[in-house]
Parts: sequence; structure tokens; C-alpha cells
Amino acid sequence: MDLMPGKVSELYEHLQKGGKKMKRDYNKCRERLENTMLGITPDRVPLVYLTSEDISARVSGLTIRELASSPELLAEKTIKVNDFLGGDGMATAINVYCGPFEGLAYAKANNKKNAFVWKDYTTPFVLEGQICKTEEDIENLIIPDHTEIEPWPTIFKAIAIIQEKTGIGLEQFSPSLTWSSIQMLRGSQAYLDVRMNPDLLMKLCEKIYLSQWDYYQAYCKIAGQPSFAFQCTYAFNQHMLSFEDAWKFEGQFIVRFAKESGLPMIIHNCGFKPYHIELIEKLQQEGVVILALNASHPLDIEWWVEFRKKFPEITIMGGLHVSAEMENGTEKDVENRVKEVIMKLGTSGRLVITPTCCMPWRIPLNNIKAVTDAVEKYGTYPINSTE
Amino acid sequence: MENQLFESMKEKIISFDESQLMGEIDIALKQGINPSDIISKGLSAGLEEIGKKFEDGVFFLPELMLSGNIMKNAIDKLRPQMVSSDLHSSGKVLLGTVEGDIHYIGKNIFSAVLEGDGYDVYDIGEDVAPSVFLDKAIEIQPDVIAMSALISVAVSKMAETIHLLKDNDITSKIVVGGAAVTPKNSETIGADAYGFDAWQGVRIVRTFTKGR
Repeated sequence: MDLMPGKVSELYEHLQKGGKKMKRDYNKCRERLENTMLGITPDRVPLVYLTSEDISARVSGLTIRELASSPELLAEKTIKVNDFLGGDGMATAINVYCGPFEGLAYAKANNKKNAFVWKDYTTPFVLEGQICKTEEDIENLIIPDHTEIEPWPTIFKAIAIIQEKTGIGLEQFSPSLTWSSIQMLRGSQAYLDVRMNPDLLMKLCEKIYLSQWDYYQAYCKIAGQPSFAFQCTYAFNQHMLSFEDAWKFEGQFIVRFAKESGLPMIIHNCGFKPYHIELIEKLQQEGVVILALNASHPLDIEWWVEFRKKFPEITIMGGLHVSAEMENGTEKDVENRVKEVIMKLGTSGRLVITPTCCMPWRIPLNNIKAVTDAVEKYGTYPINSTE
Repeated sequence: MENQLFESMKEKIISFDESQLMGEIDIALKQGINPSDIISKGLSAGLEEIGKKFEDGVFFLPELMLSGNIMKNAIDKLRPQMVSSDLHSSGKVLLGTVEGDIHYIGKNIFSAVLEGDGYDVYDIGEDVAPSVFLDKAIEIQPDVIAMSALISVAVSKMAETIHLLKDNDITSKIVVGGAAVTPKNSETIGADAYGFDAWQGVRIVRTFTKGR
């Protein structure tokens, strides 16, 4: 079932009339996020929505390919989508993280365009394991030029326009070293390679690193210098790889990137059984500056209370699971969860409420509004934790 | 003597020593040991041990997948030696990634372990429309239909697929899994069970096909 753009407009009108829509003062949005990351208590707990292509397509009324067709259009629709959702963020309407569109870049650079599947109103994908099916494919893998291969230049130019118009949006630099790309390029064979052909897998990791470095250079050249990296750490999940293998095939590349770029990191991991503690401790030992952890699991808030005690200098970005409360809960469930998270984790700052991970379109729009309302209701500093 | 050989086969599975395992299968066959005993007392015992180590966090997906592949190769080697009474499948599982999602890694690992556990797996691929699930279910009458969705947007298609199957009186048990699925939303969309990972999925399938 497609949610037609007209339908969204109706709901939008309804939401605008029916609730206390959070006003979007871009300067305030930026200030809230910056202060929170720096450990300065802001005026209110910031709220950031991670958009997804499908929700963007439905809100904007355009297909994914249309959204990616020009920097001006992408910038305009990005602002519209984010204003529609509310909160303090400015996530591009098509995802800037090195996931599917990095797959597209590899597919184009390596003349394997059929490995990519476009979808009109949902996130497009690369067919896993097609681009690096053989050892020869890995040996001959061509690194995409991110200043040339679309949609990257369009996305980077759009970010520059958004930054110029709103003053926010530049902090969207989101590399993926390396496991996300490994899975796209090599598919399930990568898990056998871990044991059967680790040298070949390492060769692929090195090529992915080069590609991510090129992505960084292109981002800086076209959009501007980001002040941190939003780094996906998908290898670091206990149900997938041992910590040692995750470090070998991903962690060491994160360290290398942090050292070569000089960027601090927000660590993102939306897996079920993440190695958060082990990873952060090891990265810190290696000198990597961790600004924040963005994650959905563990769902138990007491775990996060302990995390806060252990790492008081790291901002927690999360609190809401897109499926648990956002998709399946009522507005009251959403409100209660936001309240609980703010009371337990946000009374002295270092908290960004973020439904994690990307929001699917099946989330009731009233639940999105409930998040916005709850953050305003309970998240304005000073916060009375006994309320 | 037989028990020693079965124990040794189990060890070969746990140590992923495929060539030694195949050699021991040859020895067992020469000794006239029934292929179905080789599977149940040697190979399956090894896979069970792998599963335990996976649950305990000693082994991970690479080991699970590797052992699944070794098991499948071993069963393929034994199949020509089996008489019809031995050719007993653990059950039929229809497996696919739902429409709107083309991730296959988790599905393939699940498939490898299921095949290693003796199931007939009908993998209908990725981005599978609800009607294709239905057509295939009518054709093969599976014991279990397993669906995967890695991205949250695909969960709605999963729900649509389950409704279509039930509306058409398909009585196969439905197991769902993948990063986008949770125990809670699996209930909401009408699945019979939720598998957190490949090994838990195998355990659930075994429960549904017990006594078959």
C-alpha cells in the first residue's frame, strides 16, 4: 500500500492544527546539538530524527530518483521533510551514510549497474555479493570517484545548499568502515572468508578504506569540512562476529580513519547485541575521541544508566526504538518512554532523543508528533526528575 | 567402535575439518554403518555442539555458516548410499526475503544450517512478492514458511504476506526473523514465531516439525 502524498498533506494539516508543533529555529537547533555534544546543558533536550528514503519520498511526494536528481531539489525537500518531522536535525532526504548509495557507486564504477535495484518509494539496494563475487573481482575492484559518480556529488552539493540556507546539515558525514560495504560487495561469502580466506577479505577491507577516504575528500571538497564522523560499526555485534574479528576487519580501520582525518566520532550501531563497551574502551585506548553513541540496543534503560556512569563524557543518542514504541506503541507509550529516558538519562545534559534507526513510513505520524510533544513537555531544562 | 567413529565425526564438524570428516564417512560406509545413523549420531551431534557454542558466544556466524556447509556436503555425499527408508527429510521449509528488501546474508546462513540439519529448503530468493510466497506454499506444502526482513520498511510487506497466506488457508507455521523484526512486531503481524538468529530459528523449526 502506498501512502499518497495528498494523504500525507492531510495528516500534516491535521497535526499542525491539533498539536503543539515544535517550531524550527535553525540556530537554536544547531546550538542545542552543539552544546549537548560539548557537555554544556542546552535549553532543551535535542531531538533528532534519522529519516529514511521511504518516509522522505512519501512526505515530499517524489520518487527516490527524483529526489536525487538535483542538488537544489534534494536540499529543498530535505528541509521540507525535516521541518515536517520536527525536532532539531537535518538529515538528508536520501541517506548520506555509505550504505546503498555507496553500493550504487561501486556498481557504476565497476560496470555492474544491474547489481543495483532502484525502488520508487523505498530505500534502493545493491544486490549483496554481486560486485565482489570472485577473488578476481576483489583484485580488480575500481574505487569510485565520489566527486564524479552520482548520487554523491548531488548529495554533497545539497548539503552545502542546506548549510547555506539553514546553518545546519553539515554534520552528516557518515562513513562506513568497513563491514557494511563488505556485506554489500561480498555478501554471505564474507563470513566464510573470515575463516577460510582472511587475507582476501583484508585486501577488500583495504580497498574499502581507500574508497571511504575518497568519500571523505569529496565531501570536504564539495560540502565542506565536517566536524565529526557519524561512523557505522556494524561488525561489532555479538551475534555476527567475535570482537577480535570485528576489530581486525573493521575496528582498526576506524582508528586509522580517525587518526588520518583528525575527526572525533559518533558511534552508530543498531544491531541486536552490540559490543558497545568493549569497542568504546578500545577506541579510546587508541586515542579516538568519541562524542556520542547512537544505538537502539540494549533496550533496557538501566543498561544505559550504567553506561552513563561509566562514560559520563559521552552523549547518548537514542532512547526510542523505531519498532518497539514508535511503530507498535500508542502515543501514550511513546510519551512514557521519552519521559523515562529523559528522567533517567537527560537531567544533566549529554542526551539526544533519537528514534533509532531510520524511521520506516509505517510509523504512525501521531507517534512522531508524540515524541516531539514529549520532548518539549519533559525535556526543557532545568529538568525536574521527580516529576 | 561405531560410537568412537561417531564421536570422531562430531569432533571433525566442530573443528571444521571437512576432508577428515569425508574420510571417516567413507570408513563408516565401508563398515556397513547405516547412513541415517551417521547423520543422526555423528553429524547432527556435531552441529548441535556448534549451536551450543554459538549460543554461548564461543562461535559466531562464520563458524555457523561453515559448519552448515560442511554438514550439507556430508549429507550430499551420503544421499546416494541411502535406501528410500533412510531418505527421510526433517521437513520442508520455504524461505525468502520479503518484497522491498534484498538482503540475503542472514537468510543464506539460516538456509545453510537448516540444510545441514536435514531439512529440504526451498529458497525463493529476495524481494519476493506476497503472491510468490503463496504460489510456492501451495505448490510445495511446506511445514514452515520462514521470512526475513532486514529493513524496517519491509515489515509491512511481511505483514501483507502473512495475511495473504492465512487468507488462503495456508496452515504452515510462519517464522520471521531479520534485523527489522522484533518479538513484539512479529506477534503484531501474525507470525507464529520469531527467530532472533539462525540457530534459534533452527530450534524453532525443529519444534514445529517434531514428530514429523
